[in-house]
Amino acid sequence: MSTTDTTKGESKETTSGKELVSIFVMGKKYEVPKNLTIMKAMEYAGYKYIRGCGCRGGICGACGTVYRKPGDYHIYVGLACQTVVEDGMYLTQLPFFPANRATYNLEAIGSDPEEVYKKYPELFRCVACNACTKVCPMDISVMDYISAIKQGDFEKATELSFDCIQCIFPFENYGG
Amino acid sequence: MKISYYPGCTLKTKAKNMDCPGVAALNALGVELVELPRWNCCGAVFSLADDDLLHLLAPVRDLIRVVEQGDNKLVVACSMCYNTLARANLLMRENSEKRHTINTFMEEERDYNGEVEVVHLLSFLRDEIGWEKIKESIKVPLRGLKIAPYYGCTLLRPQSVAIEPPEKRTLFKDLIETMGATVVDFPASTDCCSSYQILSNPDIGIETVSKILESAESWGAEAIVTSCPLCEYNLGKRQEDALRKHDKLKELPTFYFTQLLALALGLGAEVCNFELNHNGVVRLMESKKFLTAA
Amino acid sequence: MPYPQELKELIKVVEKTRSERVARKKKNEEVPFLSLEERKKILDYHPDFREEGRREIKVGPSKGYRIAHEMVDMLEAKSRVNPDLVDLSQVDYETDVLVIGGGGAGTSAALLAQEQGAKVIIATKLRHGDANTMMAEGGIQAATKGWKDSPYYHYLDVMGGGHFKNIPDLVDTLVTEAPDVILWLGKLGCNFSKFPDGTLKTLHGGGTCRKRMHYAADITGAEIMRTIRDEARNRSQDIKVIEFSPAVELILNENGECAGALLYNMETEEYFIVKAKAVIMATGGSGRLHIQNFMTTNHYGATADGIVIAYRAGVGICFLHTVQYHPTGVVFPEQAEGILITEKFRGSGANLVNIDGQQFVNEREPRDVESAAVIKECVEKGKGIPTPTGKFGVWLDSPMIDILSGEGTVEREFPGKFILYKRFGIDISKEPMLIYPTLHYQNGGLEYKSKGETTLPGLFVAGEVGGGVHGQNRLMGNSLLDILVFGRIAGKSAADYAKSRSDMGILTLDHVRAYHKGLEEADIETDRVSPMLLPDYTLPHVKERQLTSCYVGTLR
Ligand SMILES: Cc1cc2nc3c(=O)[nH]c(=O)nc-3n(C[C@H](O)[C@H](O)[C@H](O)COP(=O)(O)OP(=O)(O)OC[C@H]3O[C@@H](n4cnc5c(N)ncnc54)[C@H](O)[C@@H]3O)c2cc1C
Ligand code: FES
Repeated sequence: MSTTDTTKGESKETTSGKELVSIFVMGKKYEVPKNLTIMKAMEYAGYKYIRGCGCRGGICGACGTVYRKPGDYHIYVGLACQTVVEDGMYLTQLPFFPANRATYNLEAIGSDPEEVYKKYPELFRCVACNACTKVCPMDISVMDYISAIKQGDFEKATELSFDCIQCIFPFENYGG
Repeated sequence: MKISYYPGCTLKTKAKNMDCPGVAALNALGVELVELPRWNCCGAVFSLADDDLLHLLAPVRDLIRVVEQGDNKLVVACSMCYNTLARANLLMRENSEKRHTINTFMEEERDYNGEVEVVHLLSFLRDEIGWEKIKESIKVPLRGLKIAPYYGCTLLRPQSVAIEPPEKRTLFKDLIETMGATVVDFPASTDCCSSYQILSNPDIGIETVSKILESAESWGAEAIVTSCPLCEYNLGKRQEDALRKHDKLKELPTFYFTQLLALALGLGAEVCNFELNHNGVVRLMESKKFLTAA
Repeated sequence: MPYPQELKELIKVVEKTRSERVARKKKNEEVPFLSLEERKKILDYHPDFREEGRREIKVGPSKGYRIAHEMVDMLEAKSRVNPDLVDLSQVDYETDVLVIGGGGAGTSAALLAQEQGAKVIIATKLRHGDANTMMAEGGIQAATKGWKDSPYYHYLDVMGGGHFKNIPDLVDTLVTEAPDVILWLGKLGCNFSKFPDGTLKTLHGGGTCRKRMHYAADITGAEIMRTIRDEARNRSQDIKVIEFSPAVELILNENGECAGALLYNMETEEYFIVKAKAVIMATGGSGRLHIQNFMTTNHYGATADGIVIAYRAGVGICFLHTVQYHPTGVVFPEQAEGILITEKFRGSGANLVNIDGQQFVNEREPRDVESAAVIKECVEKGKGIPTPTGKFGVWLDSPMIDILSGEGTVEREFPGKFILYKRFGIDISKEPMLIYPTLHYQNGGLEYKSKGETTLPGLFVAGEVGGGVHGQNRLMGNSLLDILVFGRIAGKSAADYAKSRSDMGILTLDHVRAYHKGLEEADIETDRVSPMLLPDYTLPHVKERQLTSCYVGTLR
């Protein structure tokens, strides 16, 4: 009895005989099988991840990727481990983003939006351009949950932001 | 004589014909125009291009939410919000070019053409409910209370979104009378409360507030009513500063019209959150026995 | 990508038998559970029972133990460094407690150690929180409902699940500390799903006699991980985190006590020395070893490093001969390969069916039995569905859920998976999912005792890297619990130990030299090095062209 023949670990993925598409990784062209995710396509192309790869399952936020499509002025954002490559796509990963993070003591701050303003004064500057929502790879309505915070509705904010995988969780500046 | 000179981009390109003769002429007059060694665009392109539409995104989005709800009318209680929403709405209705720009920018939203009607709560009370009906529902008439209606700016200016003509204003007056109180119209009723000046120039702010309070008091008011949190902050919460500065001023409790209406309708102090007003408010209501009457 | 035509044709077979199966489900008619005898027989198909899949370890403290080749390969390998080249007098970091691994176990350990007054360093391989903990969906068990449950019942369930082979002491600690863990998480701001009155919602899990599975929608692990990670951030005065710097060896002293670790900065390829009064090993599992070539649910860094490192330093291993395969992992589309499909799908009514659209196993058999049944169906009976990627799977008939519980149920109850498939053009409320068992959990690991201590003084263990508490098989929801209970305990024990320790002695890597010698003596000739750190997914067509003969000069 043999199970190995039918069950291949990720490492042994067959890729022969597949239809190929061109993608541009940081401007450099690679031919990769269509239907792969960006993550697997980059590995197919020969990249080995140190950064930009965590859970490989769409929940850790390590693999944020910015990409464009030919003839389209939009900037798209997606998770490399979840987004399928498209012909002509050009992309770069954003494995880190220098974000701001306040320290707090949950017991002490209570649920007053003023406290949040104090920690994040930039909330005052929101003009509802909604760029935050558009850039979220998890399709979270960021603007709406920020609005909920400003309105003091933390329950709603929690619900709206619940699927956040903190792809720009600030990791900087706390190394030893 | 030497003086620093800013030519600007146009004078360096299409309007060299302005720059060169100028420099030459001044030179002839013994003045050397010394071009700044480091300069950039004066910013006119941005500041005069009239495309500060970014600020309209927030109110227009809110109006789109109304349409999404299947509604066509939106009631707003805060004067400032009313003003912002109504102006944005008007622009979306009347300025097709800007409407197009905004709709294109917000491609993730449905197009909006100003189909919603933005109504201030005061107008709504009058037009959709009617003073008569309200009068019938009054449980605790605010009898004997002399109230000065304070409009401030944003209910009446600019004219295009004014809830009524400033010179023929009656909304507050009618409401106050409907609640059984006495109206004290006063000249400073439509003055500016000093708005955010109170933060950047507190002295000027407090002076402005003092004048408004003094005007209302001199006409015999016991209370001020407003529909704007910023006016309330300046006239109410910052009143202490004015009192400290001017001996002759007396405490003048400041209310939102919604608070007085709720009291008059017999809903009691519980719904009024008086703890968020300044101090004198509860004292006055107690002395008038409006709190116990329900 | 959407199902190709061949699969769409096969789906029609599933659709044909669906209404009949739905009707049976409504009448509560199920495929009968297997008898104990039958279960035992079918388990022959479980990868654990494939003798060709394992071999004896020839070196180290657990010499003679038969476990998977892939794991033995890691143990029978050399260190990444030549100990002679490491200058242990140049200490780069000094701390009270060093935590190796920034997942759930490591982070909770760091928090508790800090509360004891210790200065803490967390060294982790990827980003803080890139860990199996982040991926847990289903929930965390704890007997919090005293009016109908108790740690006593929980204890029996854990033991039953582990085939009564679990180490009783550890189980005792696990279940009695459980309610406190939930309370602690709540205080830190963890949003468990609750009723409007604030009571915690709980569900059944496979093998539990009470509803004690607490959850935070379908991302329980992520909610827990981000809560404790955030708290660690709040205490950054005392808790430093060093990312992309996995530990590659422990450092001992001349008395054979643990005294720190050697870290490897994967980006600059430098090595750094951490001297620590106590060390906590919390490196998690090993799914990325792809044992027997199975696909896995685990995160990128699950490569058994902690086991390798501690084993070299003399800590024994146990229960590693059993590995948990989750019966339902995505086998197609390829992009989502290995990803876990929670048992909740089966709990909500979805059947497992073969290529003929027929059920072949009860959907609520224990994980090992269920997995074995799927493998048997594909491998022996030839009733698997061939995938375009050359594999086999069986159908998990998710559209039944909408038929049974109303349109929209799948989308509402399984938003994560619904979106995942939607991205690939598959609507799982209309089309079934193709699944196959996937490597999920490392039941065993390093030997440790109920205070987290090991046979190596100064080394503590917490989380999936340890073995014993789950016996031969872990029940769903007990691992998140395990990592928090033993993470907290190890944190406290390590801080206490650090406090009592005055003399650090002379740092040495002699144990590595000795281990190398052991390899030689056992006639193991290999150029393998371990720990693996990251799996290698470079494909052969690329490898063929990577011709650098050795890494010298200006380019590596
Ligand atoms: C998809 C999935 C779903 C699951 N669902 C559930 C569930 O519903 N309920 C439940 O109870 N359990 C569940 N589990 C199991 C549970 O999540 C894990 O067993 C548990 O979270 C392990 O925690 P840990 O802290 O021990 O390891 P991890 O969370 O994996 O953390 C270990 C950390 O150490 C790092 N590391 C590895 N090697 C090194 C090194 N050499 N040096 C430094 N750092 C290193 C890793 O990168 C990682 O960050 C699930 C697991 C998976 C994968
Ligand atoms: S690798 Fe974790 S979200 Fe993509």
